[in-house]
Amino acid sequence: MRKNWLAAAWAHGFRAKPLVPDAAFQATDEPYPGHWRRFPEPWPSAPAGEPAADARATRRNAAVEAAFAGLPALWRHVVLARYLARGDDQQVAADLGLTVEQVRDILARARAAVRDKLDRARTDGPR
Amino acid sequence: VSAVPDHEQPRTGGLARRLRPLQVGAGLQGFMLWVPVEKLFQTQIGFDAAAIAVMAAAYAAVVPLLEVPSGILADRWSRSGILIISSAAAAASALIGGLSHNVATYIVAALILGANFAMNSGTVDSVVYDTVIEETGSADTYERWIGRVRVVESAAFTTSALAGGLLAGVTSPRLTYFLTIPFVLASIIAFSRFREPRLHRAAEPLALRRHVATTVHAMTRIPSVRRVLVLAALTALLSQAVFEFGPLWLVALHAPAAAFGPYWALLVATLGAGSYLATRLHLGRRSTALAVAAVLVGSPILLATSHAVVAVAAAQAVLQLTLAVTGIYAGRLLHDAVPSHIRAGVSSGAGTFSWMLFLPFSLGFGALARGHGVYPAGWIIVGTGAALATLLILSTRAAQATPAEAEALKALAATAGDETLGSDPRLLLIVPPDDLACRDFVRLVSDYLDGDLPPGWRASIDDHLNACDGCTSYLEQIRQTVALLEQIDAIQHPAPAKASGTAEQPAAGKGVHP
Repeated sequence: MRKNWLAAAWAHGFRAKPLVPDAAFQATDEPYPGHWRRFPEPWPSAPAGEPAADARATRRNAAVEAAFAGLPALWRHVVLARYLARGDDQQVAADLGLTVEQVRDILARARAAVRDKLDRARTDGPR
Repeated sequence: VSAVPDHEQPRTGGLARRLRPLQVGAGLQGFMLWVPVEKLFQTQIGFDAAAIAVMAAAYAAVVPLLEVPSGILADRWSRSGILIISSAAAAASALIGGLSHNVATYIVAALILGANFAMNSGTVDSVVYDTVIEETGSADTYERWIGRVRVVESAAFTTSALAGGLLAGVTSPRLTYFLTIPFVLASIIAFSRFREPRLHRAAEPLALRRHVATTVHAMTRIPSVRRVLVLAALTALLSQAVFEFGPLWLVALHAPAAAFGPYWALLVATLGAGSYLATRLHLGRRSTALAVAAVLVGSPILLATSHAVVAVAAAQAVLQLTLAVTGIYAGRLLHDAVPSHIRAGVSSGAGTFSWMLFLPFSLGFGALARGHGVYPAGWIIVGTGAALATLLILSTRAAQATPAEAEALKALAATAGDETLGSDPRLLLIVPPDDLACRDFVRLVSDYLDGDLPPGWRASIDDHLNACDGCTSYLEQIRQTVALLEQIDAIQHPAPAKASGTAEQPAAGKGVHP
């Protein structure tokens, strides 16, 4: 039994569960703790109809598809069910056998995850 | 209207089914028949106390070094993959260990086992954590599910200890190594059947270097934190020492091979019993702390003086049980003493600290035991136990931080950007903070968009948005994301009822990341 059981036993109590990694925010020794380390860059918005904007929209739709497909199955179900239920969380919860809190949590996580993927796809850089 | 009562967590059936291969795998990997008779076998192939100590020290030096890269690999590559490699390492270690006829070969086997533990530690935890989030949306039930894995694991430890001791008694210690291999290989099959969570938990919230810096800061500036950390590290050190060197007493007393099984099973069982007992005992109470401190000194004295196998085994079991209780108490003190954002860093800092202490402890114990036998060396355990007991009494007396310390802690928490909202924003929606941090806004943005927040909070968030371009961008992006996600449905995807959850789109994400 050469296991550091104590460290293992402690590890679980101390997990954070952030939607956005804490590394995105300033910490202890920085001027504005808890605030963005770097502001999210605004996404460009050009009027529809322009060729550049159309191409961008196509790319973005593909990215949404991909990001959505990358979500856990249950999360995809919640996102879709919420659209069908027209935003009624109670209805979604009842349909999928979840609590309303779970629906809210999953929705928040799914949105944050897809936004993150879109942001990365936009800058086109593997991070 | 939902048919499910609010207080119940639904969908546990799906989660239970999904986690089963992981439980089975963890159980099979924990079924190590050779562990209870390891010291007996080592003595047979030429180890003395000093050689065992050198092996333990090498091990203590290698494991913390391996933990970091294996953690990174688990996050970047595949957690099931890491678990499979760790099983392969366990199998290789058992094979090489079983074939060993000298000290050097066996140390190689021990170091390979170190790779197994380094890869295993934390990986199962994070896999369970992510799976629970995927299946339920939050980590609320995480404790319960990881608890089930631990129960299976400790059942495997206990039964394999009994079986291994029996087997070694009937046949030979060497055979227990070879018979372990099929179980470990079977765990590979179990792990490969586990459907891995798709989310990768954002590695470590803070960079490692920053963690270390904050931990060191907390340790050096705040006496109450320092005390708790030393308490924790000494507890882990002593526990490690009993597991590593305790069996040498049985070897010295010429206990039969069959006795090692029940002895080891008892020792392993104290870990589970300790966590149960910790919920019943209030170590913060002076009288309880004094009683525990007395056991921490008394049981090592019995160990260092008694020459009866049963008394020695009982002394070790009682000591181990008390250490388990103390360790959990120390964890709780640590939890209360440091802000949440540096807790993970501080607790792993304590783990590393205990390995570092173990190194000289092990070498010192080994040198003394080689020259004079385990009994004189046992007084090192008595001394460490006495130090731990003193520290325990001191920390219960100082459970309340002094005003100066409380001030320092408050400052630390503030500068660490501690979660002003606690772990669940919904629980603390009573009063909105005067000054909302961007980190808080990000957690509330979904509820804000859906109009799910009380009026006071809306106003507070609006104030923040007026002043913060970063959060305004983020809000706009989430808004666009919601709009895009709503369009996705009609075109491409069937209704959720038909999607049935198992049909995963194959590698659709590949086009996005070149």
